[in-house]
Amino acid sequence: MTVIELSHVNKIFNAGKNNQFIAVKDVTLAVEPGQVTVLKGPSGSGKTTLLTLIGCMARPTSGRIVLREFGSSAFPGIGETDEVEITSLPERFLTGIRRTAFGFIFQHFNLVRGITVLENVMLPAYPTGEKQAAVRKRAVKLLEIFDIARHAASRVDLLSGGEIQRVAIARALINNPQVLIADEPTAHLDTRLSREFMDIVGAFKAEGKTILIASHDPIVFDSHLADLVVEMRDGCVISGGTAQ
Amino acid sequence: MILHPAVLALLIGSSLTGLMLLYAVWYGIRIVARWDIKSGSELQLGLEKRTYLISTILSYALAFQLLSLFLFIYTADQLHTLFSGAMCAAGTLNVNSFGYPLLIMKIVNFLLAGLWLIINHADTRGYDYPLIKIKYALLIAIAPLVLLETGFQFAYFLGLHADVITSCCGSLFSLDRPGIAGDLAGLPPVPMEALLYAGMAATACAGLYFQQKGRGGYLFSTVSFLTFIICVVSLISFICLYIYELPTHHCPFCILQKEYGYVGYALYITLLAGGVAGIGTGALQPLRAQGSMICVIPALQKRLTLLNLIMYLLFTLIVTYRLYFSSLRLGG
Repeated sequence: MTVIELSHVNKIFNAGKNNQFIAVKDVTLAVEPGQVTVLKGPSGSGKTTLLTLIGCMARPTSGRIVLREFGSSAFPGIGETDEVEITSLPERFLTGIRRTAFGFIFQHFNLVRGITVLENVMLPAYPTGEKQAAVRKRAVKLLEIFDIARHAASRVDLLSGGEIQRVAIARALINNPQVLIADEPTAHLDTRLSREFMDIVGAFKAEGKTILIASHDPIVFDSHLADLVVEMRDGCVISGGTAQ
Repeated sequence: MILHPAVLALLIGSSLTGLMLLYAVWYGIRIVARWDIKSGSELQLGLEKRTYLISTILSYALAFQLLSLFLFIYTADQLHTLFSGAMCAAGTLNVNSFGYPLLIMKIVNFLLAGLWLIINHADTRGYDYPLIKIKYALLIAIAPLVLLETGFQFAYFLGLHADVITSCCGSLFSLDRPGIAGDLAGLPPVPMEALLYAGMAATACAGLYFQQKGRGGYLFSTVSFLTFIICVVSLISFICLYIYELPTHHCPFCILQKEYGYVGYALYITLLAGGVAGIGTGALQPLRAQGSMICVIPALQKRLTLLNLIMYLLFTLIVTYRLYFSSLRLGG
């Protein structure tokens, strides 16, 4: 059973105006659970927009997106195995899904400057109301896994590029999401760090997590880890469903 | 027209509420006619996005509608000094033929606006828009009444002239005066007292039963509404007499004045809030099983029932205090 299903999804910015821009055009896609799906394509092909639609950060202009078995009960009335159509959900429920179902790794990592590594990692867990001691314990464990526990008390401004990337990954995992979304995660990394990132992706895959990556980096889309590579151009899927 | 700040506030507030309602009704008609949650069309997604905006706008507009009843009564009370013969809001409302119909419309719209806000509150807590069509159908029904009220309000305030000589409560709520006010004033106090306490006891029993068992929602709502009517009648029939300590003064408006500690506001607020909560509980009863409402409505009904019981209890306590400490004794 697919974990994420997109049906005829369109995203048009400034619809009906002179500067109308079609970012995503009639995309139908199925993402399987526990697999690595890579959205491949040049800049402006609609990869990031598609990720934001799947990750409940924006709504499509038309089309529907269904999530299944997204791991935890994001709001009352929905069970762990239920399916939920996310494009029609009121905002109050989307926040719950964003918080519990998805972990985001942004292109520029978007860590909050001026606070420590540990605080950055703990940040997405604050709204859940979970006890701070439990969140702190989990955050420290994640930092240990990524071998950056020694920087826990350091401000993120002082970290190197590779360390920042690891903090961003740890932060994405703090709420134990079922689906990990990474937008151009290797865009600012050298080859060694990019390969390290793919090793981490391999570990997540082994744990059964579903991973969605938007990238035009061959290290990512040519990786043996990629189960499905979806090629996009001008907002359309021009090839997809190709098992690697 | 009298350029009193409260009059201007009411007219501007009602005009804005009317405009917001017109905007909402335009989308409401489209939602009732075209809503299809299974469709992923641009129209459907546009309606879904738009409904948040409309719901938020209407929450504020109808919250003002609730407040405007009290602002209107306050304004009518404040203006009575400008009219010869007027001693309280009763006289101000009698200055022209729009006053009392406007007051009745405001009370009806208060109840309907409260009901809509309750249904909207329930709907926004569901993830699958289970009450969306009901909510907007109700809005389409309410809108003409609110717009009519706005029209009446303009007609009433524009028709206020300081040279008018008016009749006031002494005449309007007199036993000798034919009509509803006179009939209500003429009801026997002692049986009405018994009826009021019986109504409150019945509401409390039905409410507690519903709270405990989750059954009897319609019964509680009906008993609560009947008690609401009994309370309104009791206010004119005997409660006012004890407050004024005058056996012939039945005016339901003088109790809003400083001389009586503004007790009228406390009585009307508790009564109307309790009434809306009771009606809302019954209105939600048939919607309990619709989609995600199964997780929302039972808990909301319990909160509304509790609110009703607390408000009616406060009303009863205020009335009992006034009855007990009044120098007037009726039927003894």
